[in-house]
Amino acid sequence: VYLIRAFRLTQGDVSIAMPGSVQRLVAFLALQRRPVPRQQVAETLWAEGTIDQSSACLRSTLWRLGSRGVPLVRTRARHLALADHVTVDVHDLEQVAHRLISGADHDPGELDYADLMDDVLPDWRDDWLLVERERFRQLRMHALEALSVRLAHAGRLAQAIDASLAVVCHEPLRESAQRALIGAHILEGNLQEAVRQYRTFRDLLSSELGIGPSPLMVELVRSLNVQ
Amino acid sequence: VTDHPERRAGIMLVRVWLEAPAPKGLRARLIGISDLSLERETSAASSVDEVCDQVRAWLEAFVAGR
Repeated sequence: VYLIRAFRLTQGDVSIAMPGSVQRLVAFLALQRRPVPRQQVAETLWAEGTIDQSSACLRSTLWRLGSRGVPLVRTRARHLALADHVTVDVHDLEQVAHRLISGADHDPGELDYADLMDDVLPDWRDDWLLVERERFRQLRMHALEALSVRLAHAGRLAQAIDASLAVVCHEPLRESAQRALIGAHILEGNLQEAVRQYRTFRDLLSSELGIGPSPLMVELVRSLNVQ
Repeated sequence: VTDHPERRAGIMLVRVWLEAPAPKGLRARLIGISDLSLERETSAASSVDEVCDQVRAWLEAFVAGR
């Protein structure tokens, strides 16, 4: 099950099309990571109807899934969960992110981190997805920041800038990412870009929060003689 | 949604992180969606009081239908 960028389901190399209601059920269970009571699934995914209507929608969706012969969901007593053999891209990427943050991977350049740049199901507007999408977003921002610092230390400055830029574009007030980006520009010898980035950040901090950069940032740019 | 005021709904997301030891290093990004069909409004804060003030202002605007 792929949830990053867009919903996609594959078995081997073959893509499997599913109705929207099945996609939502599978995505919800994939992001819960544990068995969920049927009633909670129904009330979350079909929140606008009565309890009876929600339960009927869930039964209909499970029937649609079952009729396609793809054993994606495990039903046990009053709970539903994703079947044990199903793999989910978000789960795999979370492991990558935790390894990056903990420093467990020795060669960051070998990592395929492109998926860290994208959100979980960005075009879906479901309420239940907001918290999971945001939780994953925060995790990947931390991971990209850690990656940027390690890429810079490894001399892979263009990649380091890409990673920190992804964080800064998402949240320009994040100073640790701004430091990683400015530090990479300095290491690259691109001092004008470092100064420009610093001034942009300093002005943003002042206008949005009425505060100045931290001593760590001031120390980083001290050699640039920025006014 | 707007034809049925009783069905109006909104979401406010408060994203927080620390740039330095708390409380001085607190940063917050507030993302409010007052009507689920409209664009989001964002703001930022750097203290607990500021976050609470902004949440209150957003809620008051939502209740008032602004």
